Amino acid sequence: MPVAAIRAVSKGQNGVGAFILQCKRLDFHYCDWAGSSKGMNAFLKHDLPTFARANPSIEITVSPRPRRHPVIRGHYINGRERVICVRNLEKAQVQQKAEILKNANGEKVKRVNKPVGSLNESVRGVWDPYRGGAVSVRDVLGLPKR
Amino acid sequence: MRPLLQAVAAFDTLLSGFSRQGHRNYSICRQCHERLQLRARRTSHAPRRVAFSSLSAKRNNAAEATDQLETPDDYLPAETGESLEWIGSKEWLEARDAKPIRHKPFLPVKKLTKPQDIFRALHRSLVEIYARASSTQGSQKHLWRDTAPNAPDETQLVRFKVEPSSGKVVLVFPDREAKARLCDALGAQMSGASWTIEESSRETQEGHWASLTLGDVATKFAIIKRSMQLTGIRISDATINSCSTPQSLLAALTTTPKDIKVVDSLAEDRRLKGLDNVTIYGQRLTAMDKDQQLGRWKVIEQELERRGLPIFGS
Repeated sequence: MPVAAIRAVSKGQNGVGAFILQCKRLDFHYCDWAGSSKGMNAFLKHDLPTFARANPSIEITVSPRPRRHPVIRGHYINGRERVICVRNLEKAQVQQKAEILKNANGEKVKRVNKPVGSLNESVRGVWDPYRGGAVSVRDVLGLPKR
Repeated sequence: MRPLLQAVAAFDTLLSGFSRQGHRNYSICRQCHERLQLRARRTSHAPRRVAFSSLSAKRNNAAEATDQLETPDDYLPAETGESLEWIGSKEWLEARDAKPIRHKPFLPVKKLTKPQDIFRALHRSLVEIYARASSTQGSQKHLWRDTAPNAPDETQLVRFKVEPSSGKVVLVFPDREAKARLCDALGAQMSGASWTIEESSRETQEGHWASLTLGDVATKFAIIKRSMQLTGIRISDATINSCSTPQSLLAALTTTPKDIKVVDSLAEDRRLKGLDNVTIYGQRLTAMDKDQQLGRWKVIEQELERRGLPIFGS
């Protein structure tokens, strides 16, 4: 008798029950000499401790990249990477870019056409009161029609 | 604690109602009772023996001191609001803006960068300060303050000599005209005891002026202030303490401070000490570093050795 696998009753979704941050690592690269790293260096000196303390689940590495523009590289648990160049940005703008990378899921950017997405799209579409036959309470309750 | 004026006024009104009754048939708290007693004393012109706090006592003293001030002769008390001085009106703003505030910074905005210019500025500051210090007139307190903005270039011809007996620094001028021009510029008295005139062809025996000893603290302070004023370069207090000769002062003025690297400032940051999720690298991360982090480098190394290939390139 073949062993039957346990059928999945529900499909796990991140955020339903538990939320796991998709960003696992952020690399901050800067240059000591170049002026385009001014905002990045200010962010590293002043705001990085607060940012790192607020995100203990993200591994943060800081390393120089001499004679290059500053970048932030995000590594995600799906194996992908996203890089944002923060040249000539102010300290607060660098913080914004770091937040973007932190909140990203690592997927490619997709066009969003619908307000609500579904993992199991219905071929019939979403119910619409203006289409189809009229629904009466008597039909629902199984009462005889008048 | 800040007093609530409206609450105090209402409280006084309430107490005045109580005091008019003339007898205490009301059950009031201790603070209200004390306040009622104080009010009764005030109305009966009794001497004030109770003070609310030390602050109120200070206020009373200040008010008494204000009363003792003499009224100026031209003081005219205002009878209406229009005769008071108005602040913040349109005319007041125009009158204020008519006289723009001209701020003259102590240090010039533009710094001297060439070592020769810094050298000349330091020499000039030495000449000016020693000239003022040795003159019989003038304030010895602020030697650096009222120096001439445009001293003549003859300051560069002035040399220094140290008296062996007293150890005093003596200015040596090439001729009388140079001394007169410098005196006019500095406003110092010409009959200074330590101003010597010698021929410019003669060389001093005591060595270079940069090796003078800045022993007197007031003179040293004035020289440093004046040299900072002439060069525009600010010197830290720690450096000032360590400067004992003009040579060391010149070195401090000409040495550009080393740029602080981001790694050094992050290494000193105490907020990052307890964070385990932050790693700081002092050098650029190469592909080999990434392989080492993944544990892949040893495999690559073994394979390169097995095939007889160089590990680190050619």
